[in-house]
Amino acid sequence: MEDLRLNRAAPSDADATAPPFDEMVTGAGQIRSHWQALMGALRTLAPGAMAERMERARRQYDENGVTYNVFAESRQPQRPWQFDLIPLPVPAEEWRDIEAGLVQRANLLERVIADVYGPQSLIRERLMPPALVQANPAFLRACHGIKPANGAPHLHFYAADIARGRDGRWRVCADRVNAPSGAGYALENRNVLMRTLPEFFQSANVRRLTPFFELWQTALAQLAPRARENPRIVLLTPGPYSETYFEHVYLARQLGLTLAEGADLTVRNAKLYLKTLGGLQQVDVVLRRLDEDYCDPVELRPESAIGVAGLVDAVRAGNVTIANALGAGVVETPAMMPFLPGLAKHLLGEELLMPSVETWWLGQRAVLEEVAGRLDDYVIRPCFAGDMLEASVVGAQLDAPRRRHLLERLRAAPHRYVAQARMHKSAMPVWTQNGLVPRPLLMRCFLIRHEGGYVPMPGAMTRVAADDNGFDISMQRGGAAKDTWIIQHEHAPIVVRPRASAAREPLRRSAGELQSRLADNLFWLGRYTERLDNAARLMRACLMRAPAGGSSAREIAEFQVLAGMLAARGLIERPIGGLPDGRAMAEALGHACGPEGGLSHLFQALQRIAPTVRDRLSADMWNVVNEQVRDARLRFESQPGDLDRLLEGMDYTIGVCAAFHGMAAENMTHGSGWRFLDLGQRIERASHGVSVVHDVFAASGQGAEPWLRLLLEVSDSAITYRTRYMAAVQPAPVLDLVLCDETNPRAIAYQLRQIETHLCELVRRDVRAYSQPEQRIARAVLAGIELFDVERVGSTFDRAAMAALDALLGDTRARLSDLSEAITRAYFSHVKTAQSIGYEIGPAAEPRP
Amino acid sequence: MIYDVVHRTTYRYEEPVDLSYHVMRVLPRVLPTQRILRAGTIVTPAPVRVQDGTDYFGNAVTHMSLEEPHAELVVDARALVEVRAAPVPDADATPAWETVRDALDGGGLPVETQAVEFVRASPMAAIDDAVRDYAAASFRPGAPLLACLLDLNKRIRNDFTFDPRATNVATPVADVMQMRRGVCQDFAHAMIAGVRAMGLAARYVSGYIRTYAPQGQIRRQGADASHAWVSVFVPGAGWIDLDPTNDLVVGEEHVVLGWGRDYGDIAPIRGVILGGGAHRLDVSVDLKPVSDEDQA
Repeated sequence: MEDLRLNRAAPSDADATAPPFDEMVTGAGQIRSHWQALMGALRTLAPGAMAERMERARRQYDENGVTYNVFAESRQPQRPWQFDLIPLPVPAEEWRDIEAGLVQRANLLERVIADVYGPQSLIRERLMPPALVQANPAFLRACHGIKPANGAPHLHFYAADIARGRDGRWRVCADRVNAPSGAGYALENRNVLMRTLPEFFQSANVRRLTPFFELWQTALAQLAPRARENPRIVLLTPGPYSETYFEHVYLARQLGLTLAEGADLTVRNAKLYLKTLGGLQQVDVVLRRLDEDYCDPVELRPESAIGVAGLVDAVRAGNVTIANALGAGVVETPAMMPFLPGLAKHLLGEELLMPSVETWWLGQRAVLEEVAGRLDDYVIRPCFAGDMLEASVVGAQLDAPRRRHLLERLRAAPHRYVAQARMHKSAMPVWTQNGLVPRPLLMRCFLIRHEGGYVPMPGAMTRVAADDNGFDISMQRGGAAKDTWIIQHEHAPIVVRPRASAAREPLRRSAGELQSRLADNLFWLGRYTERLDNAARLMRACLMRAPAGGSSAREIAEFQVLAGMLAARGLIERPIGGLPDGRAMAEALGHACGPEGGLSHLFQALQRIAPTVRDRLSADMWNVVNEQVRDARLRFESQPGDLDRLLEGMDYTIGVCAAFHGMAAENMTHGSGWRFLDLGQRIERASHGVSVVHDVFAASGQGAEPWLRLLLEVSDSAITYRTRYMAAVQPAPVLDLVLCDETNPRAIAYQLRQIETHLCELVRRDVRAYSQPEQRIARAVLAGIELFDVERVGSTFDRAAMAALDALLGDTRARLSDLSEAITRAYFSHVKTAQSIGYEIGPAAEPRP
Repeated sequence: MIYDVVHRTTYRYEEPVDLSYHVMRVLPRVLPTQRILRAGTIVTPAPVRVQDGTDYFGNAVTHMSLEEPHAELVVDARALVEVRAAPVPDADATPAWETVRDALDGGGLPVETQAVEFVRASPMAAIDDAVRDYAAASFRPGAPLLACLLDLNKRIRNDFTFDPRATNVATPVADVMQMRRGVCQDFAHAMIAGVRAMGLAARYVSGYIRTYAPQGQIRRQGADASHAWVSVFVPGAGWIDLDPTNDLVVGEEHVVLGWGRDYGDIAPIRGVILGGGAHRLDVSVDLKPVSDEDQA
């Protein structure tokens, strides 16, 4: 197979004597001209100013929630964004060359992908080895033969990691095609730098990034398979557990897309829909951040629970465009690199403008043997997606036995490996407490396809290594990100392309299309925060009565009632019997607040659900429900058994819940998302209220005054009562205040009134009032409370009155539970679990006798 | 020979299924040795979408989805197929296996690109030392390719015991090699992995085999089963089908549905259901020889 012989991917960078290229300083020790303005600005800063600016930038990243890996299980520390404030300036002429190289490469890769999923003539004509496709798990056979609808490209969004070698040439180290990340981080790096070091920008003529994102928006709209004024575009994310989830949220906002998880989408009759409160809404374009093989359990990975069943069929039918197309990732393998120069000649009739890092594919015997003889010069890497977890091996670091072992492994499956030259990457300054130090860098560039051509982002996400070992640079290994400046000539006009659809956006008062899944999760976020608040209040009341030597009989009795309530809610394991001493109490409560206790379970539930609605919460609300909730949890878990600390923890927790609900009321637009959050909170508070009233009256029998005080305290209504009634505490006024008073935000009637209002607002206007089951239940339960004769109970409080109260509370409790179910049925997608079938039995013909 | 094939698949769900999506490969493939006189599927309840097409390997494939709640799904695939035996070359006249191996590896003889696809290990036919060592015994240096393959085909028939309880649909080749037990699918995967371990091309064929009632009994309807065997690439002759379960060279008693790298590429009915709870699956296959008069 002559035409497949060794193909040097790049002029070698192997002159081991040359020092790495310095981005800032020439060999003669001169600061390069495009760095001078920047260095000048840096010199004018007062001593100590950089440290202060770094701190300011760190705060901004934190406040904006920029993280690399957000884990919902919050004991896992989130990694703060690592950054450096010295940008990398790139002069216009140099950028022109980089642009040309990357545009050509994107065009080339697009042609290769189209061939792989079409005629496969490149394989037949041996311009690339068949194994690069056939043995590559990123080649999705189910997608072969699918052409993107409406002439859309397979490769809509392309990213390349490039680095500069000792010879001063930029080379591509990695092609990112499957679902490239980083563009959003690049924009955020720019925004933070502009806010923290505005003086840097004054003398430099830096190209802006925002026009690129505006262009991206139009480009996405153009992908729609059917002509539509406002195509619906979603950003498909694997969800909050994804390490780049921050960016998904950020990009969705920046590009005006709906952020959707697989569970938000459904395929019906080969069309893709978003499940919203208002029904199914057809989706035209998907910007995909979910790895391609996870996208459809029917035709791709059957075990994927985060994809959309039937998606491949919808694409095949031409009803939706996915960017990047499913299967595009096949060209991401570094094994492609040696063949790109030949492919460029064949497909484009051009020389490859920007070389790749020197790469050899070991699937050819001659190549394998040559590399085996020069193992010291190379890093051996697995080249296919499924094998990427296997570590790269640096040839020069192997002793003889390891070397033999490696060669055995290579000979067993040579097609699965490449050998790459170690590249001595160029260095640029990084600011440290001890001044500027040089660090090797890697630049990730981004291109989008717009009107038949590729347009690069005039900027990049540059990463620098954590130390001066220039070989491995990644955010996982502690690298830091930097802004990248494309310097333009003074007179170059800033081209801001107008958005294609110049039609004015009509004013909108609501999004109107909240995903059912989000509504569901907001509802439960409301319930959990309220449940936490209620639990903390009960525990606080209990702690304040912690039996001590001088406890009165009444205090001990109250304590018993409260402890019973905690036990009924699963917050402590069992009621504390007899006359408990302080130690038994401290133990029970300490355990309840410890890592395995009931309170801890509430925290966990909250921490699980909060990230799923993160993009619906303001940064402040997110901070409360994320950071402060974690703080609260840590307070309990760090000091088990110390009653004072527990009491402080309860106060803190109650404050956190109050802050969250306050922000919800004041900072969220009162649209359907807020209504579901509030509905959850109201239903929870009403249910809690009903059982508290029940428990207190059941314990007190006659409604004696001390018990009524306890009820007021636990219901947070003591002050209101005092201002209304002065000192006399009697059953009727107390019941009126905690049960029936619609002006008391802690009263049960108040919750029910709010619930009713929400349910009426959520239903379309043209529907008859109270036509929906959940509305009728809400009305009925409120009416039951309204019609209850508090006066009669209060004046006599005999057994009949007690029975009437009992009946009311029992009835209300049952109806509240019906109400929660009715809301679930009416609004929440109630996603049934998907299961893959057809894997149960295989062919089983017996041998013939 | 003409066969009337009825392949019925029934899913019974514990709870109603609201939505379901399926990919089916239950209609026989058109081949030089196989003519399809009539073929079609009937699905109950009626799907909202049925799309017939051809998959990457050229097999007939149907995509369908159901959108009304159903507790039972029945897929009836029926075909009238005429099968002829393919000519089998003289085994001793086939090229030495090493020559073919080198050709497939990219040196020497030009080979069909598509054969290369079937040389590498695939998800359900992983290659390890056990399967390599087992297969190697059939490949003496310089021996003619087809003779080696026939030997391997016979050894598997002799060395492996049919035992449906020993394996399930996902049992890896390594386990089958260790137990030396399984069903037709396991034997096919073991042979495929072995052939590929030698650097040769083998693919997995899904289909049916004609069965005979024991002496004095009447053929029971629906008692047949899906079958699986192996197709090997022999330059000059093309693909030759071998059935390691029965130590046969496939003639006119096998009906081919289609092929892939392994079972994963060619499972008859696969899908995703929403809802459903637990389910039961029943498959019945009937392969009835038809005389020309019956057919008219």
